[in-house]
Amino acid sequence: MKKLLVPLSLMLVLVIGFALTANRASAINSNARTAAMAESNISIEETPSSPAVQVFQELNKKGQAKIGEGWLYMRQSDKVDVDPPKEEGVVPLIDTTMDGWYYINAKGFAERFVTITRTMDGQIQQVGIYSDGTTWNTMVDETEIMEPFFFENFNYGLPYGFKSPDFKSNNIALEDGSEAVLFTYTLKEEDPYYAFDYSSSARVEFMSYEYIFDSDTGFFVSLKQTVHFEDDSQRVLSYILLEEIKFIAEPPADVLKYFDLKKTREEQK
Amino acid sequence: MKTKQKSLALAVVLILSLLLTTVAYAGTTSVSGGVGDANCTASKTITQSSSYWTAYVRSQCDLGIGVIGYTSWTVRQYCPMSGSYTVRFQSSVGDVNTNTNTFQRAISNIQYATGCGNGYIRLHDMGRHDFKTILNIWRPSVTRNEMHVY
Repeated sequence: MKKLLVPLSLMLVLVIGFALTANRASAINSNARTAAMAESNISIEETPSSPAVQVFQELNKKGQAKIGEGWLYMRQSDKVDVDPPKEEGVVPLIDTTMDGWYYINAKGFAERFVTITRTMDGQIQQVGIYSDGTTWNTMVDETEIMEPFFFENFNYGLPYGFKSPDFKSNNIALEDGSEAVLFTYTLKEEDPYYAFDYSSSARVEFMSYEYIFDSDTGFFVSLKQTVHFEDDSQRVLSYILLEEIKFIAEPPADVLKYFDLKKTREEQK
Repeated sequence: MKTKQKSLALAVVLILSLLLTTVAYAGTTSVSGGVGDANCTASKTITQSSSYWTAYVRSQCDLGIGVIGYTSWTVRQYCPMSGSYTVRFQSSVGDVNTNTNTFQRAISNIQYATGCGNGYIRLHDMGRHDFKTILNIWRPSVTRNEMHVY
């Protein structure tokens, strides 16, 4: 009996180890599945509703109802405030604008798009093109396979804030007098930390987020992401403004030519 | 004495078993190989927090070798909805340690760039590792991709 004790113990440990691994692998696969589902058909997270969440969901429904079949044009700007890098190889965030043309089909799925990102002096930094089930980016010259995705009203990740206990909404008036809703929340890590983009600053204590949505259209207006440091100073890491969003008959010819360029590049590969 | 050995064997198996589960959970992509007599592993790891993420590159061997590190390393974010990249670190020059068996670097606490319309991004930790002895070279390319919905 004693002779059997050691092999049996070893087997038991291995079985427990395997079960733990399988369980975790299953959890990872489950997460991957969820993420893969999100990639092909991203949906707003279902979370127990606070009043602010309900306000957002109503606005989002309003905005979503305005997205129909055809070419949607959007233009956003992204202004950042970060430290210049000290270390070689670090690529700093820079101010950019992005123009995007999305073809949305009758079922609400984006089938094709061209996005052009420019630096503030108007130079093209990169172009992203999606057609025939693949995306190609001019900056990195890489192709990715992607299914058509359900085109959701732009939210720039607002639903992530639903998890925050201080997620709330307030009605506000914009500079032009139009009505809007301001959503705010904060994110605090367990411990303060030195951030990659603020190597010469104090440790980050928390981040705050301010989203504005147009009450009339339900469309995103802006997002201000502020970093709050331990020494009570703060900096706006990123300010994103959706400058324009509208349906158009067709993108300009110099935009459509990118579909041909992508096709040519894919044939060369 | 025999009982002690058995206990030791049991402890080793238990530790290995637990390590196995930890590796599966760590967000790491590894490739195993070797250079000369040394058995080596090239790995990339991404760890995520609510407001930031960290990318690691790690080259490791069971014996000391002449050169160990990477020849290229890129850390970036990708927004599938716009097909655009935000590159945060890029080195095509490489970085190495000499006459040792380990190399590790990290790009730490990168706050997520939030300019992606639907809040769904992918994090990329990619590049070619460098393992060299006088007579042999092993340079595997290893990529770790992770999704993040912010």
